[in-house]
Amino acid sequence: MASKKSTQTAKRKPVKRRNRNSSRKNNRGFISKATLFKILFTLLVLLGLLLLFLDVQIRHQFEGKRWAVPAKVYARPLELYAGSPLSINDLKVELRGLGYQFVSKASKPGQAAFSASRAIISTRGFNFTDGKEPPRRMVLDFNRQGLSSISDYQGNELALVRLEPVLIGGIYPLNNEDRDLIQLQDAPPALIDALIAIEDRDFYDHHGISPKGIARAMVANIKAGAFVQGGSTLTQQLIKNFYLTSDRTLIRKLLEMPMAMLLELHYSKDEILEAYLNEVYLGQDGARAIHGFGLGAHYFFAQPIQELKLHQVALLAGMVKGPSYYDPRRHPERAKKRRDLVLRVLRDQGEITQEQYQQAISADLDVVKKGTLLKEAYPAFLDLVKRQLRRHYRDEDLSSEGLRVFTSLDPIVQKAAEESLTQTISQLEQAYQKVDKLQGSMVVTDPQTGEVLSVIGDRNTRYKGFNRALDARRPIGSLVKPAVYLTALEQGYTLSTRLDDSPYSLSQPNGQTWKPQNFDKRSHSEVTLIEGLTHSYNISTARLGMEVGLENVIDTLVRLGVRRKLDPYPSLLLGAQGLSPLEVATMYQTIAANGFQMPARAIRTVTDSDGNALSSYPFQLKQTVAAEDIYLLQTAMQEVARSGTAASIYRSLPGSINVAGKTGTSDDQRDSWFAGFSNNRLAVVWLGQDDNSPLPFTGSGGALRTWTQFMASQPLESFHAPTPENIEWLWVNEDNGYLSAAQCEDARQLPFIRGTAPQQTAECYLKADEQDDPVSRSIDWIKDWFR
Amino acid sequence: MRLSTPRLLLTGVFVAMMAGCSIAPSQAPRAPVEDRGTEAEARPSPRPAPQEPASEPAVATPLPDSGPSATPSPSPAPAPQPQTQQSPAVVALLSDAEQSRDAGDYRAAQGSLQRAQRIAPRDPEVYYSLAATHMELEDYDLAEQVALKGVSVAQGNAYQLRRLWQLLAKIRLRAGDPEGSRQAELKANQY
Repeated sequence: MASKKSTQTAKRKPVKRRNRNSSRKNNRGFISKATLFKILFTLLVLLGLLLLFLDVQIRHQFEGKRWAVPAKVYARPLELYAGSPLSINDLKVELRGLGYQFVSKASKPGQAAFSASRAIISTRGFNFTDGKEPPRRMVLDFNRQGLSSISDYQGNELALVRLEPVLIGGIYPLNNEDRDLIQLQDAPPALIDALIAIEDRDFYDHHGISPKGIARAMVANIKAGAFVQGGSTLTQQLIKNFYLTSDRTLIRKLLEMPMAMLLELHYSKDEILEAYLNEVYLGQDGARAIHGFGLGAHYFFAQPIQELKLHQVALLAGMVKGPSYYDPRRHPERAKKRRDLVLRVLRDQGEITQEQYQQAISADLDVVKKGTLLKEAYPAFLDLVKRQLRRHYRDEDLSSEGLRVFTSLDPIVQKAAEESLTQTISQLEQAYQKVDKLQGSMVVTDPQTGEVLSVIGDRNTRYKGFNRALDARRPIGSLVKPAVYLTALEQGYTLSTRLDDSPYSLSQPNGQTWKPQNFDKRSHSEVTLIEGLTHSYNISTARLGMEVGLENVIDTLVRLGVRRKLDPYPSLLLGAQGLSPLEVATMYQTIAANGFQMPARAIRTVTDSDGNALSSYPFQLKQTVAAEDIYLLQTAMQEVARSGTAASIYRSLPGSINVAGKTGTSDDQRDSWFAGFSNNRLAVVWLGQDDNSPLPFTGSGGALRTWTQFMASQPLESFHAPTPENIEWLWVNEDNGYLSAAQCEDARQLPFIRGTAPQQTAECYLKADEQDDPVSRSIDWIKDWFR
Repeated sequence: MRLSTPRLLLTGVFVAMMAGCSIAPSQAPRAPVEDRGTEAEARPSPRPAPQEPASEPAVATPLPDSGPSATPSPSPAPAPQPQTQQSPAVVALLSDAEQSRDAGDYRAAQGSLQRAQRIAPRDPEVYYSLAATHMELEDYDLAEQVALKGVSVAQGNAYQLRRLWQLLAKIRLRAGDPEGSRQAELKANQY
């Protein structure tokens, strides 16, 4: 069997071999001609298709939307006009935020020169939605009241000028790329020269790839014995960054060259260069990636790119090679070396003179400290803006359409608020060793317009984390009391109505007993209503609140602007309810604005990238409390500042300035609050600890200090409530609230809604009234205020 | 009042000058701008707002014995009499707003007036003009509230109070509230 098998095998083999031989013969002939041709043809077709595909891709991306441009968020523009309460230091704060150079002679846009009471500034101009503000050179004179006159350089008076607004933030796409688009003509010629000199000498001569450049790079590398120079052209770099970012493989390298050539085929050198200027990566700010020279100029020098000098553009051009390695903030020596190399090349190529070279290399790097940049400096305010924007815009539109968002943030007010909060927190920590993790937040608004001027969400004001101003809902303590008293006033109580302050306890449905106590642990038997609020007595307030009805107090809170669902527990009357500082600001704003409820507005207008308005957020208001009732409440709240729990205010504020407000301390002193207002500023301050542990101070010992320091720093307008027509000022006895007269003992003047004057009269009233007339009484009272 | 005739004339010349140099409202057709509100207006207040805060206090009281004796009222004057001198900046903005309104660009007018309000938030003229602009935009609720805010800051200024109540009468009439309009008219006649 075995032999048979082998014979068969032997027989078969030659056949096989023959077959194979013949097929090989045939194949060889075929490969060399048809197959090879087919393969080559297929390859060519594939290559052609690939090129076509790349071509379509390149053109589509290059001509379509090239970059996701983050929305830009601006602060309010500073309005300059004679009579504005702006100090010369305020102006400096604003101009620093705008990156103005302080020089001895302001001649170019973005420069300012200061003397003791005069500023000469050369503005950049700005395209506002409602018109263009041209660049101007202006002379501003200041006196103690503020800006006294403003004129152009020829001496013509100017009625009103808007400075360009400070850019305070952006809303970034998921990849966190931030950029400021520029056009080629915006870039200083020296930047282009430097870029071409150091990165791609043959840029204007090659067709996308530069054999000369590659050869030069090879020679340089061989000479140096290391990789010191790449032969990539600017076009190749653009392709790499623009189309192939995430892909770092050989295929990418192979695709780069044909794509670069295709790009050159379709687009002019200028178009390619402009795209390069906007695409280039220049550094990292936390999660935010800094792209493009436009943003780079702001990020490193806090200046628009047009204003950069030779040594600055040389640094930017030099950094392209290694933004992290040459980071001028982290490695200033390296960065300077690189900058000087760029300058040397420019000189050697004859682009700059020896003199320019010398001047530039002797200049400092001039890079601004990160902390001085105002972009991203106000995370808590920006958070509020984003939340308001997201109600009307999609995230992708905000992060990619280049929208411009104009807000009400006032950098000058914000700076003062930050200083007041951080300084008082450190002082309190020094005074009370027990607290070491004291936190704080603050909201400042303009009570006349409802605009939010400043928001602080953390004692580290630039911290982008938990935003206490919006999200920390802490028990408001006595800040709730104005709502209780307002409810009573609306029900016919007057400021002189006597309230029961004797010990009080209430059995609750859950079996517990509610037994409010006064802060001094004493009861005061009977007090007038105004005293109850002025001294923030808990017992009389609790009794009053139960008398007027919890549901009615809640209704008042809602009409004052509190939107949260409130439960009708008696403890609500003493502020067990938690609210955020922003909610408190909204509530107090209604009181400050004479009963008109206004939403807290942070955004004024949103425009598209060309400046066309998309939406505006107009001044809105709705009267929800009658003027008379609010007037009485405002009177009592001014008394809180004059003689009540917040009387320490007048150690810092002049007596001529009326303010109104209320202190707040929650149970066990876990929260220290103050909310109050003048005519032009409303501020709410909260201090406390995140772990909710008790504080060694009350509302007046803590938050009020911050509030007072802040208000004292402001150009305050005295609070002035217009007296409604049917309000009359009467003398009453301050102990029992009986109708009295100026000459009588213990008499004080209080406003009453006509027809609600006390019925009972003090003993000396009748005699005195014959000699007195109401007009002179009112005048007397006003005089008293200003004494 | 405090403005003498030459001063008034000067102000007039200044207004004219400002009108000349102020930015002309854009004539180009614009896409409609959307007004955005915040939650505050979206939610109706649980209690109707008093329509006439100066005369309808929440507490039941006799009606005020009409303006004159309650407040020292300046004698009615035929020409505008600002209670305090307006700053040139506000004059310029009011003039801008008027031009924009005449040209039918109410959005631009609104913008100028809100700028004016930030500079002079207690100037009744600003609220008068802003309320009139909202009326033209047919936003009668807001027009009414802005006019009432004007009333609130104009206390003691009979001239402005009369104008504001007359404007309120007009707003209410357009809003389809003839009775409210009549009441506002009566109120205006008190000054």
